[in-house]
Amino acid sequence: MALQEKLDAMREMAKTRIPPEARAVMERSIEDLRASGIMSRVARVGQSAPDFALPNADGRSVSLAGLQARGPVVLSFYRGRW
Amino acid sequence: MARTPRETEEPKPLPFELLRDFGNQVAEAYGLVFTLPDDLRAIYVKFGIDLARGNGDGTWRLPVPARFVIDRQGVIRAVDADPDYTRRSEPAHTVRILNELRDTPSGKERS
Repeated sequence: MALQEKLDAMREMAKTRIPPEARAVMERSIEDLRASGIMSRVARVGQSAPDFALPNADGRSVSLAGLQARGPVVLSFYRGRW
Repeated sequence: MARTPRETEEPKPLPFELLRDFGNQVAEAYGLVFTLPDDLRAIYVKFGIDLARGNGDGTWRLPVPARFVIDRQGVIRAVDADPDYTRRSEPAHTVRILNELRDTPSGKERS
């Protein structure tokens, strides 16, 4: 199954557990965020990727420059729970 | 009770790096950070989610979930980001982009 199909199922499941008032606030906040213009500030195709060095699970520092030297990099930003 | 080999085995290392972006600093550099509005915070608190504590920096900031593909020269070759956190990049699509990148390593749009 495609990831998005699984996520769609999770979203529908969550809807049954969240009170409608709370759900309305959550859904509106997504639309407000979209309307805030944040997407126009996201780094774009063709730009130089901002370099960084961050600790990995072992506490060792990992840099983008070091990763990209080994091949193309998939950089995924995610948040807890979702 | 005897332990099965499986139980004593070391967990397999992840085949990718899992990095901690404390303070959302790198997310900020990629233009992804936003602060949750007060009414949404109140709901999260009711759910028992204390983002400021979880973040460890006292902020209610989050990144828009996003996926970038970066080539060996450090140029961004693909971006997928959506303010709706229930919409995520399809892994198969990312694999296709990587395959295309491998087939045209110098990058058409950069020449």
